[in-house]
This record gives sequence, structure tokens and C-alpha cells, in this order.
Amino acid sequence: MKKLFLTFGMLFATSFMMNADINNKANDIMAPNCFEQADAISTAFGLLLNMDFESEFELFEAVYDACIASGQN
Amino acid sequence: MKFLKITFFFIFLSSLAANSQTISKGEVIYKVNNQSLNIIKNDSVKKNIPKIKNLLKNEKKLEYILVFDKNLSFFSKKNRLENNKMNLTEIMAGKGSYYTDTSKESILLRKEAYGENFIVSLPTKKWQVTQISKKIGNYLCYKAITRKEIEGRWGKKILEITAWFTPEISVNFGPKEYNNLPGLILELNENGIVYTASKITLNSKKRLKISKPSSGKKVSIDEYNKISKEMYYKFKKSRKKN
Repeated sequence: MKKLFLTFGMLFATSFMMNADINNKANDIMAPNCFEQADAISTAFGLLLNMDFESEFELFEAVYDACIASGQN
Repeated sequence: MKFLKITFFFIFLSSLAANSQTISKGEVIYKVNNQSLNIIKNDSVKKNIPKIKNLLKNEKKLEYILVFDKNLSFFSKKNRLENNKMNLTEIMAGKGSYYTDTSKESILLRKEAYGENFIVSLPTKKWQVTQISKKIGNYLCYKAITRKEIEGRWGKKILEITAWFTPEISVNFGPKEYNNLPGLILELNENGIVYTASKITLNSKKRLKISKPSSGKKVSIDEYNKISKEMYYKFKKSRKKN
């Protein structure tokens, strides 16, 4: 009986730790800093829409400025 | 036989131009439609990113104006957008104003970029005029094609630019650096950005302002593209360090 409790306890602790790790990683993806956000968006759009260096640069700045203005860093 | 057909077609275009009214000056308003947005809108992930939604605001309010007289033209953005913020279409269409002098085969783009003023000299386009036609408003237009090389982080690409011009308005001007056709360009598609003439005023009494850009660093388009590339990598490197 004691063994069973211990096994369940271990399983619960492991799953709790795994969930916490996944949540942390998800937070990293959902809320990157402004540089990473602007970089990801301008890169995706640059490739998708045949943007030249200048347009991608401007898109990066526009997204970055909007991000900073919203209070993120 | 093909040569004969092309010759007759050009004689036909010239006669249309000759029959059209004498135009000493004019003003054209172009509305802008970004066809590339259809690609983005299909992608649910990108649609849901709030920062991009902000960049998609005011898309339909963007207008450009072309003013011209016999040899000169000036093309620039007509209206200021909400809070003076840029949107995606404007970013793709490019900043600055274009001054064209057809008597000197000179096209100058004046723009502010990277904390400096530039005057970029652009080459005159060579066109392939086709016999494909369509009506835009009341005007019969013909399709013409030219090419433009662009460079991004993905490398170099040749874009095909499509213009629809009307010999019924016998001036050889159009949006941006696109001119040198036997008639006014009423529609232009450059990389999914479509400029369509929505209002044309010819020979009005209104005084038109066409001023040659004078202040700014004078560079060729190749030099300007090189600066853009260098600034792009320099900027990203410096921001990454921070």
C-alpha cells in the first residue's frame, strides 16, 4: 500500500514538473521580446511577399516600434 | 508576317495617340490595392498576430498622385494615414517621391532613409508592348511588360511588372519610375501592389507643382541598394548585441 502511494506520488510530481516545463516553453514562444517578435514577423513577411532589404528593414522597425509602444521590451 | 503585324499595331497606336486631344498638363489619382494580402489572409497564424493586424489597418485609404506637364512629372503619396503610421502596403510600395524629366531621360527618387536624405537616379524602363487590351473606365488600354531586379535576404529575383496604358491620353507617364509608354499608365502591378487610376483631370486651370529634388545625397540605384543591404545587416547585428 505504502509502495503504491509512493509510486503515485512520484508520477504526480513528474507530470507536474513536465507541465511546468511545457508551460515555460510555451510562454517563451508566445511572448518573445520585441526584437525577436519583429525579427520573426519581418522575416516571414519578407520571404512570403518578396520584400527587398529596405522593405523588410522598414517592416522590422514598424513592428518593433509598435511592440515597444505597447509596453513590452 | 509577324514584323508586319507589329508594325501595323504600332501605326494603329500612333494614330490613336495622334487623334487624342492635346494635353498640356494633368493630374491622376491612383488607388492602391495590395493583392499580396490575400496570401497573408489565408494564413490563420499570421492573421491572429495583433502586431500584423495593426499594419493591415488603413489599407484601402492609401492614395498616390501623379501630376505632369509636357515633359515633367511628379509622383508621390497623396494622403497621410492615421497617426502617421506606416502600413504594410505602404512599406511594400516604397517611400519617397518620383520626379521624371522625359526630355533628359532622367528619373529621380527622393527619399528619407537611415537618417539621411537621398536622391536616387533610376534607369528608364524598356517595355514589351502587347496587343492584349482591356477597358479601364472609358479608356481602351493595352498591356505592357517590363522587368525589375530586386534583392532581399532570399537572394536576387527578377520581377515582372505589368502596366496597362491608354494611347487615348497621349502622355508617357505613370506611377513611380514607370513611364516611357505611348500613353498614360492607368493600371500598374508591381509585386502584387496594384495602382489603379481613379480620377483623371486633364488641362485644368489649377497650377501644378513639379519641383526637381535638390537636397540629398546623390546615388545610383545600385549604390542605394548596397547601402540598404549594409544597413539591414548592421542594424540587426547591433540590436542583437543589445
